[in-house]
Amino acid sequence: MDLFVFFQLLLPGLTTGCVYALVALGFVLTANVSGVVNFAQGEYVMLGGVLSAALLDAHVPLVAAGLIAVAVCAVLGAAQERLTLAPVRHAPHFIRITITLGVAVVLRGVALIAFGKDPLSLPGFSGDGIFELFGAILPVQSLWVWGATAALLAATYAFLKHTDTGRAVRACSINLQAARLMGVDAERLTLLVFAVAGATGALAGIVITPIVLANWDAGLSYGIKGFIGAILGGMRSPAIAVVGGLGIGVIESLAAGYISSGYKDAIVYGVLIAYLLLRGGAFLFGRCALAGSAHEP
Amino acid sequence: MLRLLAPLAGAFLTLAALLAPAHAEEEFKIGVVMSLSGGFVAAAKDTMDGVQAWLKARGLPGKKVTFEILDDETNPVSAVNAFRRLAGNPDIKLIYLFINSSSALAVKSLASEFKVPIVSGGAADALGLPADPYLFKVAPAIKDFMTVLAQYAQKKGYKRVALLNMTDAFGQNEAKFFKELAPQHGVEVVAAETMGVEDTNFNAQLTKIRAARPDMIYNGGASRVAILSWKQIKQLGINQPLIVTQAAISKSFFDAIGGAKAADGLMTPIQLGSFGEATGGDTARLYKELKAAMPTQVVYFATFGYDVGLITAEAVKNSDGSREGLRNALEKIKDLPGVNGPITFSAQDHTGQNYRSIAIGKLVDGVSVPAD
Repeated sequence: MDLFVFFQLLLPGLTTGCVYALVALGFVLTANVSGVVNFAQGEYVMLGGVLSAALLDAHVPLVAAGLIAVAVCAVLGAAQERLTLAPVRHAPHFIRITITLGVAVVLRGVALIAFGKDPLSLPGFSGDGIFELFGAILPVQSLWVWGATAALLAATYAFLKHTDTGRAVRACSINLQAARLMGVDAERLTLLVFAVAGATGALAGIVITPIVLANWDAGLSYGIKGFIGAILGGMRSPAIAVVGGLGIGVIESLAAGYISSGYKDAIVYGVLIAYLLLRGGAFLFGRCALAGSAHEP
Repeated sequence: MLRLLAPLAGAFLTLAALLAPAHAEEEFKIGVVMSLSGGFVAAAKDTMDGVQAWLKARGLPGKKVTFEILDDETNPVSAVNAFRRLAGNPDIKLIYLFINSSSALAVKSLASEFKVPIVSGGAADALGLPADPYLFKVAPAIKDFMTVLAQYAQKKGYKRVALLNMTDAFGQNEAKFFKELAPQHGVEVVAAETMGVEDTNFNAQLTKIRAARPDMIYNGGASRVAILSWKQIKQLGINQPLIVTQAAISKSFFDAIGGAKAADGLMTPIQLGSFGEATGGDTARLYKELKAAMPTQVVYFATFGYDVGLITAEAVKNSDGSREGLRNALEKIKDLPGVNGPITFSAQDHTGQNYRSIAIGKLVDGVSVPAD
């Protein structure tokens, strides 16, 4: 095997996989506390990118543009939970999921009207140069993507493991009713988690935009691939969901390089189907704390 | 006295009757289905500007041209409804379609129902081939662009060509036609990779292309795909001559890659009208006419509109003015000079312009000039 070619495929795949991993993390966290898969998660990645690029075009300094974009997406995430999901908290699953799909469509439409159809760009945070690693040539911005992903994952781990609020989130994912009986304010936690998920998605969008540009319709692809990563993590384990997201990025890139660029999407979805079949066809909603007594009325 | 007045009055009335038709122009009514709203607005408006410029520069001698315009809303269903309304009006002799390919194909399906000749915009090959008796496409087909690409590769001695095409029907047709034409021009396709419209990472495809060591690369991506693939080609140090599709070149492309200068040397197969007066010959002559008659800068779709006017004039000149007469005259047009190159129709092929109206252009400071 030509190692240069292998790393040239692996490392960019890892970069894209970082975005999928953060989207998968958002899926798992919001699903764990609310019991619903938020199909608008990918759109926060898109919004982070287009909003920060638009602000930069309006002469807002890059750091401020990024912070504003993250804050706006956090507020949007909270607003999504409060305005569209909280009122239907006791409605059947399929209604709540459909609502998140509707929110995704609305966010895409608003982005198209507000930011136009042309792609928007951000400059690389350390310039637009390239560097070489194990023979592979990569944009310097890749280091920012890897670094931001690692930092966010470390922060999420610390939050879930070592803070009372994080422990409360984990308690909700195991058994919501029991958590409520222990005094956990599940509704407040849900609001917080949606805000964090929105902010996380936005940050992923901001760091990846210098490499892939930002477009009003980019969120759909991130959402689907991140969802696959979350499914591979059983919609339960943030850590496995992250590994799943990274894995999807790598599989996609290696498949395009070693099999065919035309079949890479089919291969990625094939991995999902194979996984589900291997798990006995059980979409894990039926097995984990997200369904049944934990979250249904 | 009365006997003298009567002949004088008769002579006067006869003279008036003979003189009157010389000042009254016959009306020639053209129906226009164009995108007044939706995504195709800009292109449709530019095309109509070109037609208006033709009217101003030449028009139809002895005839007063009027238009009845209906909006297709960049939507095939609305295009069909608008076409039906115009075609049902017996005063309308000819219909223009300044709409996108999807809408034009929808109209083609019922073009022969009303037996009114149509001059159509749109790039889809299926508009001109197989030929509908009443619909006449102007722009060249995908195969024509690929013919010029293959001819250019042959001329420059590029034996090994790599393709990077979109996965949509347009991109796959490009790849299919080029692969068919390559052997005839002494060219081998050493890599044929694909890109999806939502793809952002082309490392896999470009790594394979680089490994194939082509002499020339054709990139059929547009919009964001064109920008990202161009950037990644530069990052990977791929320096072979790069030819991109006409659709890749836009203001947003220049903005995203750091300005028009950054794209210097980039080549694209484009229609002759895009070169302005630089090509010389009929194109330069007609372009000059168009430029003089346009109040604003000449853009590609305006050159297309001017060609539509030239086609109309030729058909009117050689017909009895009836719908059937115009249709027959349109089908007999051979090598009619146009801004974008010569126009020819036949009973089997209603694609007006072909590879003769296309050349490889090279970008210099954001402007296309004929490549070496």
